[in-house]
Amino acid sequence: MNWASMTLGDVALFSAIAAALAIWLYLRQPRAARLRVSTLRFWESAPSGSSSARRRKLREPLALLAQILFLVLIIAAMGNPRWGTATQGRNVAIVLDAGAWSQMRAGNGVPWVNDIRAQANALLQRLPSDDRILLLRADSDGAPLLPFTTDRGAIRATIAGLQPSSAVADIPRVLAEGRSALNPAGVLPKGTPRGLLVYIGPGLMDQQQTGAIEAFRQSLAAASATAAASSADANAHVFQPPEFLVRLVGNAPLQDVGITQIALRRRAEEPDEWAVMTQVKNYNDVPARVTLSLSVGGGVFRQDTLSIAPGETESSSDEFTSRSGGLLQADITPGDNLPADNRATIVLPPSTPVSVAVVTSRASFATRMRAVLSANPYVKTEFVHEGAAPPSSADVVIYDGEAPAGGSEHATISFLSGSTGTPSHRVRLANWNSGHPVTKWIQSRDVTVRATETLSPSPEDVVLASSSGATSEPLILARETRARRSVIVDFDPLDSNFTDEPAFPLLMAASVEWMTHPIAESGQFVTAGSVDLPLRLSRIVAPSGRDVLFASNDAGVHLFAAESGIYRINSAGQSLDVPVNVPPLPTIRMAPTATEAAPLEAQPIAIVQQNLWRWLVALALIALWLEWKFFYFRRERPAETAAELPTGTGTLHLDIREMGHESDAPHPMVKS
Amino acid sequence: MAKPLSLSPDFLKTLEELTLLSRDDLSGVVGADHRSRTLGPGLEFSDYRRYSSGDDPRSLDWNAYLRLGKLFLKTYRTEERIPIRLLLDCSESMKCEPAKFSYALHLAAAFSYLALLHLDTVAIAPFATRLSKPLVVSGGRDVFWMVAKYLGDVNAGGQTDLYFASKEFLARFPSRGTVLILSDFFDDEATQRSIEILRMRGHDLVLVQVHTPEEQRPSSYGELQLQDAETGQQRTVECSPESAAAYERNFSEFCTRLQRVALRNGGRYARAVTSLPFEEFVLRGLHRSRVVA
Repeated sequence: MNWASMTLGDVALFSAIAAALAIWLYLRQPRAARLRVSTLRFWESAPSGSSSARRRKLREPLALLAQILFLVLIIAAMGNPRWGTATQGRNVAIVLDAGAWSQMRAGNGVPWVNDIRAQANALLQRLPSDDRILLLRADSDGAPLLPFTTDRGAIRATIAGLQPSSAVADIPRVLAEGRSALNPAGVLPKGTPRGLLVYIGPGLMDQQQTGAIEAFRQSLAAASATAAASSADANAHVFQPPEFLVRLVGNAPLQDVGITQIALRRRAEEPDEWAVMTQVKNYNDVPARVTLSLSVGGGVFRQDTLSIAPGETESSSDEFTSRSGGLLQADITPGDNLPADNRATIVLPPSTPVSVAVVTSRASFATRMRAVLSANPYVKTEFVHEGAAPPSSADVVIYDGEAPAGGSEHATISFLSGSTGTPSHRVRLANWNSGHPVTKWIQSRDVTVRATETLSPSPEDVVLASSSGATSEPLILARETRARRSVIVDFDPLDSNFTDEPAFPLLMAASVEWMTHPIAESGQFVTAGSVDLPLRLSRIVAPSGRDVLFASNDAGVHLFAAESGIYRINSAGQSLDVPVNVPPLPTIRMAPTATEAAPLEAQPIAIVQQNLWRWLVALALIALWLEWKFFYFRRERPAETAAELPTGTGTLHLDIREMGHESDAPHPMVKS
Repeated sequence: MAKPLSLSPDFLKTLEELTLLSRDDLSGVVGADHRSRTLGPGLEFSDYRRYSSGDDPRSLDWNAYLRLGKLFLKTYRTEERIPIRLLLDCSESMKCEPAKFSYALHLAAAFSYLALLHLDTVAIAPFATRLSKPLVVSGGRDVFWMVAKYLGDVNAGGQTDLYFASKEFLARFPSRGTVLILSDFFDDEATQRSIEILRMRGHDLVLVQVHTPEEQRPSSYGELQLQDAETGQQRTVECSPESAAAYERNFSEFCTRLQRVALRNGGRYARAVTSLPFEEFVLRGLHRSRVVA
């Protein structure tokens, strides 16, 4: 506790000011108060006011002294002085690795995260109480668990509340973060205690993290050498790298077999048929034999037994049919010491065909379109004679000619061939717009068409292709008004070689997909850690029922999924399920050096300082009571004397004739 | 017209249980509730005496005559109507403390009610330098409204001269009775002389001193510029705890002197501090001072 952070000089200054103010108040002679009294006879013995006003006199010196003492003690208490030798606590950053491996159970069934908590508490026990401690979590996207604090109760509560995640810990990044927090400016003034950076966890990393840890150690060693070299200069600011300690938990072999990946792909020729490939890794140092079960909607459709060599990955491939979509779940049995990766789930996207209507009166146009559209298994085509209304269920309507003047309710593709008398000329179709999703994959320079020059693009239109040459004319446009999209082609495809080129079916397929929805041909295997979803969300609920914070931008949302399981997502009024799985886990165990594994470096014996402010406040209260005693008690005393009235025995000045009745004599009276 | 003075109905009901005490050697008009030393017509039997010629034969005890063969006459105690006179100090010293004057007015009302309750005659005589026109009422509590109206109209002002006012009072009310003086009695010398002449005329005296707590014990400290409310005299004093204690001693001695003067003249003395609730003073303070019972 540090209240006003006052130095001894500040305390003396403020005390002097307060004492001067108190003395002035005591010496102050207020203007005589005017009083109208019944009689002046009782004031005969009172001293005259005019004589005493000439000299200033302390009326209550003891009360004044008590008041000054009270003020000095209160000001000193605000300065929060301490008894004992001052020692400066150091900064300590403790990195707690609560990654997926912390869920691993030891032989007695206790998860490693319990050992992490115990190690952290044991370390906390040995740290001096003045040390400021920062708790960091070794997640790739995790914020500090607790900022620098000396509140041991809060630290213990945070450690007790540490929950393991299913993500892979990014140990080098968090260690670098802790080092920066211990020494944010890079250099520290001379005399500043050396910081302490402690890693507590299983210490399992991948190859890349191992290299990063080595670089981190070399950086610390170089900084120590620099500090030793510049220690001779008394005025120099010396770089003080923190002391780095490693406390590993879970030294037993990794007895785990886990699903690391599910790959899912839709067959191009049949949208309801899927190919699935599941990868299972044996983290153990002995061969493992597991049974892999695949199921959709609770129905198991495949069981496969896999024999996996130590440290190796086995794959299992299969094909299945699913019309409605859902969740594809893979399970391996028997269970092991890390149950989280014994199950993996992936979303099976449903196939949703697109309804396309072709409005034409030309049989040749219909034939060409049928040939192009029937090759796409996701498209259902219907042909309508020109003049008839296209079906309302159609997602896209292709017009052989101009679309209806009043506008269409559907997304449209219009082929403008012009009227018979329209002047036209042959041009080469070029300049494909690679930045638009419709023409992103089209590159063709051999298409020659007869342009009718009837197309008049508006500023909002996007030119998808134009004629080659000096005077480039737009030939294909993309138009987007409100929620309706349309593509306008300014030539007759039958009066060109466009229908013979691969660009034609690509243009039609990309146009239909742009106007409707993308065809999901694969499933996304989402793993714990940083997750990006191309959705507009309002809420994400983790498997444990807690709300997950997320960052949102135009492309979608970014979140950190610490748990594995089914995340419930509210998107545009709909509830979606996104399964999050345990990622492939790193297996290279950190090898701490002798220095890192050494016991905690002994600190100089710190004399426990005792805060004196409570004692000062208590003494101040005593001084306040004394002031009351000296000042007010003296004023109350005459009142007690007055209570004895009227038994006073003053001299009787009156000439009284004795009437025969003394005060003690009973009064002669009668009662009626 | 000022608002009539009022006492709460509950308090008036409580007053019905009290009696205003007076000396038993006073004589007044026959017909009230007070016992008298005088024998005469009445309801309460007193004694027998031998019949002598001229006595009222209606008082003869014929039963005694049959037994003893002698004529005896039964005598009765008369029940007299004792005049109650209230001398109410209305000087400037009473007015400068509004609570004090109001307290005195309420006391006067309470005494008047007690007297009327027992069918006594009440005379209220306000005074300052001189005696104001008094109010004389009798006939029971039904006429209490006249007292309340009169007290509501009383104004204070002027210097106190209790001696001169007493002489005027004696000239106006020569018959003996109970005289209650409600004042602060700060006119020390005049008070003594007034008590003497009232006692010499055989009046039963009751001195009720009314003062405020501030008059007993100063609460203001420091330099004070004081002005006498009656004389206008000014004095600047330094009020320290010591001088305040001296003030209290003086006041205490003054009260003691006043009490002694009252007792030595056969009177009674009661001191009313305005910090004490008025009702409590009437019911307890006056009882302790043997003014009421």
